[in-house]
Amino acid sequence: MRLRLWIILGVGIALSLALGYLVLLMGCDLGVDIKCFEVAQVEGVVWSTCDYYGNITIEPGLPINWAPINWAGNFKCVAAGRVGNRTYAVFIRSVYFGEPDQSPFQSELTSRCYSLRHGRVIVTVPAVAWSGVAVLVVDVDKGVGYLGLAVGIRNITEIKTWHDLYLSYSDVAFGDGGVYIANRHIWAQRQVAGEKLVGCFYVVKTRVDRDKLILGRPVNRTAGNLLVVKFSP
Amino acid sequence: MAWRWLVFGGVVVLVTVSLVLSVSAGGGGLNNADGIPRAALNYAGNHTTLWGRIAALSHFDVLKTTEPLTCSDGAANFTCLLSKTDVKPVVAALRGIGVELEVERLNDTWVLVLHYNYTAGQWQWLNYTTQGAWELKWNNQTARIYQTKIRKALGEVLKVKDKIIKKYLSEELKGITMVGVVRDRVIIGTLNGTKGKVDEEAVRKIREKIREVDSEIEAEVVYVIPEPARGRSDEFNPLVGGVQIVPSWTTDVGTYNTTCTLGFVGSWGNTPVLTTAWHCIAWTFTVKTQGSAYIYQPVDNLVSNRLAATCSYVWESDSKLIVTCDIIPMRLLTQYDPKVFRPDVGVAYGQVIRKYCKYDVTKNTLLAKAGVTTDVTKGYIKSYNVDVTYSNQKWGSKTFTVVVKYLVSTTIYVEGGDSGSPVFTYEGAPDRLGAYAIVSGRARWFGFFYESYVQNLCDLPFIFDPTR
Repeated sequence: MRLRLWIILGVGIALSLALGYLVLLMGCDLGVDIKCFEVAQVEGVVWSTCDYYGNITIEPGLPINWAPINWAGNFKCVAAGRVGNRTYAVFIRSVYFGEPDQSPFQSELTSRCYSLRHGRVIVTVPAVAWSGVAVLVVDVDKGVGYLGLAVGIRNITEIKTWHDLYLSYSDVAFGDGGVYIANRHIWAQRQVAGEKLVGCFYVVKTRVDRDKLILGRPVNRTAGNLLVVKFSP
Repeated sequence: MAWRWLVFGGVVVLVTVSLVLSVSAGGGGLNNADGIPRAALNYAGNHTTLWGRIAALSHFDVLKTTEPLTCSDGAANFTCLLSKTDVKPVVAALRGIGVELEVERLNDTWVLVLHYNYTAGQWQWLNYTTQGAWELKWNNQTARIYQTKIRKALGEVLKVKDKIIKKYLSEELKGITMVGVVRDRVIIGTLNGTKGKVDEEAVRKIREKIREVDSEIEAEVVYVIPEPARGRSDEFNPLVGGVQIVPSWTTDVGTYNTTCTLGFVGSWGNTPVLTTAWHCIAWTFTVKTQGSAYIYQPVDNLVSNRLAATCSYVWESDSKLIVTCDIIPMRLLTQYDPKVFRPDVGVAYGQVIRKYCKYDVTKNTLLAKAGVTTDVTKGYIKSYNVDVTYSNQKWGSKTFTVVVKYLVSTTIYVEGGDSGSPVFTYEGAPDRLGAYAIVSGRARWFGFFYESYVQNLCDLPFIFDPTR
């Protein structure tokens, strides 16, 4: 009789622990499709600066720790151009990357998922916010977008301003293969506090108001080892 | 045929009634039976205090009193209004808006009124001789009316103010930044001055122009630069603590930056320095992390590009750095003021008046921090001595662990971006501060906030003075 009681108690505790673990695990797996791209020797056309005056919506939403919109702003157009009858655009938006591990996701979620992933009950971190961006590459007409994340890592020998640190129009080219990007350190993570998959992007439905997008003009051809972001035909 | 006359008559009645109703509903200029304008009635009716209702009627020049004042009979403070008239019109007007008062005559022959002297910049008591004094009671509220010689009642001085504003708008009066009313006089703010003092010539010219508007009115002229409400992400010059900075640093592979909070600004001997958390520049300036660092405020304006000193440190191995403090003092390129921006809710600036070393502050002393992400948060010391390990710290291509020695753990809530925030005590008032520490980091327990870590200013390897 007593043994049965102990078994029931043990099973109850085990189930409670499993349930607690599942609750803590909630939100850690992002469940968003990811697509990875290769770096290749390509040649494309650089377009001059662009502007965008509309809103951008992405689906599904991601628990990203966006920098405050009142000073950092929303998505800004970096480069936009046409290849045949297709219009592509690249936007960036400021993100705060917190500790641990320069995570772009909300801090409570990051700490919880990090604890579970690394088996650490208490996580001590500096209260810092690394500056970085989300890079959104969009096939404007089809409403397909690829969203990646990057912390500043361009070679700048003379510091004047850090605004163009992540991506400027001259880092982007357009060609038959799609959109070519000079920054190779863009990544995506399947799980919060998970492995950073370099060269990978989240696949998101993206609504861009074409009438509010002002394209630049082709300025020069460029060639090099660039990240090739391909869209389906 | 008769029914047509009936319909016609009905229409006439309806039109007449609706006309009367519409006029009475929208008729701000109409008066009630006592001749009080409807706008004044509504305005007074919306006030809930006795003195508020009296002043509201004076605002519309129905009564001849001042605004409510802090007064004293030498023994106790109370609310009073100075009046050109005796109490009769006050009682009558209040009855007109449904306030039934108890009135008691007092024998006071004088009253003290608290007054802020804008020119001298200090509070003072003014003595008024009175011709009559009354205490009014209504709804458990008490207010006193003193009949005395005042230059202008509230409604009269408000009219003068409007005329001055009109003259200012038509550009006859230049350099005016503010026109206010205090008691029976106007306060004129102007930019025409230096070091906070108005030029004598500017005062003379402004008074001359105001005499043209009203020969009786008394005007105080003060130096006022109006500023819109500011946020921590605004640009500050002179620089103060508790505001947004973007530290930027160069490494072997490129340039990075963070968003942090500016700690205390002050001096090291005669060198002006700012303080923030060392990890905000990713531990740059050790022998293995040699690069340049730049501090921008809030994001564009370069305020420092030179190191003042680092805390003591030792590389225990290629992947483990041990530091004695997480504070980086950098030399300032700009003007500064030893203050903290918004150290408490509703307080614009706090003056740093002293510095505390670690054990000067007891565990039951309230500490607060002012940071860009979580604004003002408060708490208490948990432990005076905690060595904390920050793993996976990155500087360019290097990844290493940093052990920060001698941190103080607290219950103050912090988030990413609050690093570098000033931590302080309130010295008897929310705008007088005792500088204690700089925010370093935090610990979370399965995602829940556990504690924060701050570094005391006396852990710096030199004597930093945050008060001057």
